[in-house]
Amino acid sequence: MRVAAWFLVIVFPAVIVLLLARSREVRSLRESPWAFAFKRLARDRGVLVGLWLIAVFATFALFAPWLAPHPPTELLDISTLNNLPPSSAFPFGTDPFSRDVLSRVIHGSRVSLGIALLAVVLSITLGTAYGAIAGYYGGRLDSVMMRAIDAALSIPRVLLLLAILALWGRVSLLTMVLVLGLTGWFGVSRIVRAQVLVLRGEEWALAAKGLGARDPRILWRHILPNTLSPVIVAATLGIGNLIILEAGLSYLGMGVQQPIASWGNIMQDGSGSVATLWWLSVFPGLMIVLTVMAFNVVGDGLRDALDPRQLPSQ
Amino acid sequence: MRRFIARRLLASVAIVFLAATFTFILIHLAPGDPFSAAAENSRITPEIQAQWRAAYALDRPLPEQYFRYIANTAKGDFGYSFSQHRSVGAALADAIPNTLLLMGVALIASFAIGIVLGALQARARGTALDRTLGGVSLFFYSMPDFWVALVMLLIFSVWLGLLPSGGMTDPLMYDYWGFGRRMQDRALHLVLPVASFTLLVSAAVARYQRSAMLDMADQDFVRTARAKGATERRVVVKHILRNALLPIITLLGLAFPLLLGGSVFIERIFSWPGMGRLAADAILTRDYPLVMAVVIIGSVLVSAGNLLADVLYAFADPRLRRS
Repeated sequence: MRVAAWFLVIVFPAVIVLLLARSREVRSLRESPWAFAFKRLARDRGVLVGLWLIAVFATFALFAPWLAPHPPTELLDISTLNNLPPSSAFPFGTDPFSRDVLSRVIHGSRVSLGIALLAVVLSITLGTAYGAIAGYYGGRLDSVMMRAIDAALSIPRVLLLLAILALWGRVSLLTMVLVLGLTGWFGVSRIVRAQVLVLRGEEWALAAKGLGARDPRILWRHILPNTLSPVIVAATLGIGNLIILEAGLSYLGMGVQQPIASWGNIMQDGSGSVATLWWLSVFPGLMIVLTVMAFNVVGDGLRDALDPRQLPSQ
Repeated sequence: MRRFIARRLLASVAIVFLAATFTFILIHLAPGDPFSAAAENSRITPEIQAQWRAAYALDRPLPEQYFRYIANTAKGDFGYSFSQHRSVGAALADAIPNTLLLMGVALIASFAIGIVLGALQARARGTALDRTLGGVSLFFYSMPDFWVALVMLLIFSVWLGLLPSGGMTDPLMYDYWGFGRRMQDRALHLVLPVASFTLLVSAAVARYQRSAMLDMADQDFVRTARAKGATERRVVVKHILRNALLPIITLLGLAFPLLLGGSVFIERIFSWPGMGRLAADAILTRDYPLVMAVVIIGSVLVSAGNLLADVLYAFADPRLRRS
């Protein structure tokens, strides 16, 4: 049963990615820019591997209870099965509380990916709204809003996060998402503002205004859809960044709290004795590197694929 | 140019002031204060705590504390550190040179290695060499800094036993050694933290440098140089590389804060007594004056880095100087 599940986890995403790759063959000049960008994306072999990795980790996260050999918080036997090095029974070893590290890593992908994904959605939403307002109305409002962003960006993010988390004490997963999302939107707002500033002066935007459309409608229907490309790229690269941040905070003991497993706090379980319990640091870290690498490859690929200079001329 | 710099300096002062105000509000909104941890000790009665608070003016209304703080800071007095039991200035004076040493070496190495690798890749664009180097730098670029530090520590210090695992000097023998042996000891202690940091930053620089070179390779002046019959080596070094170094200035500006701000994780793992560790300790012990000082310094560095990048850019690119 478990073997079949593992087989599906590896093969199923691969089939989907290969199907995606096949779609690049179809070509027509009458396609939408999005379809065109998608095909450019699917032509890059590195991006396909990245997408496959992301799909595999997403499957881990979705089906964690069926894939993990043990429940993530189960103490197997605190006196005989603790601190075991990797073996065939426990491929990633066990931790000081005799929990199976492989199971914790699999369940940790839920927490680590989930937090990063939700936090990115939050910060993209906030950043887009803020940047759009500053860029669209311009003038004094814009300069006040952007000076505030300058100040916020001048505080090192790790210090800001540490200060918030340490001072407020034990945090829930929801707080983690909020804190990471609320401190991550400053850069996005700059990107969106720069785009909106240019786009609002375009003829079609002026035409919409001339036809009597109200500001919210012009922003939502006409301007924002055109700012999507850089925002999508920023979001993809931002997920990798957030996974690293969450892991770092949890590693310091200030992120996700016991007994919930995240990739960062599994490493924290081994931080007191890195030399003897190396498997607690190495394996979750490798998962982070693979995931972040996958998101970076796809983000780079998206940047190339969505570059308007490479769209076909009409 | 001078007017531009003056205006930017004024803006930077405003930015730092805003950042300090924001941080002040943030840490005073949080529950507890530097002395609330002492409440677990039964011999420290509420009266004693109240006395302590009064001694440091923590019992005054917040606006008063705020204006007091701003006034003192403007005079260059960062206050007294509760956790270090000495003035914040003294704590900073100890930590800054250590971070400067670590980050100075690491940043020079990172930029040198990164620029060379990026240039090599761009020159061999599309070949197996380019793809391999690209894959390797992406791999390192995707690593969390604390994980790199942990793995380096495991391999070179624990398993191979080649290098010391932390600190700046040997805790036992350093005082008894002569000058030469001391320098060697310091250098050995530098290797692992510098290497961890360099792996990450040089990968970022290489990625940036490669794309900057490729942007330049399609420019008209490169075609002109080739048409004039310049050798490939001359085209790459004199025409492409020189121009592709311009965008690197932006990256230098972004890296500038690290020079004095350090890295929280790498300094912590290698027990390096620098600014990053000081910052983390200050936050963990709710040492308000130290936290404020660290944040203000961080924000000054970020603003200075941005300004530095703009000025350097104008200095290096004649097209910008004229306008």
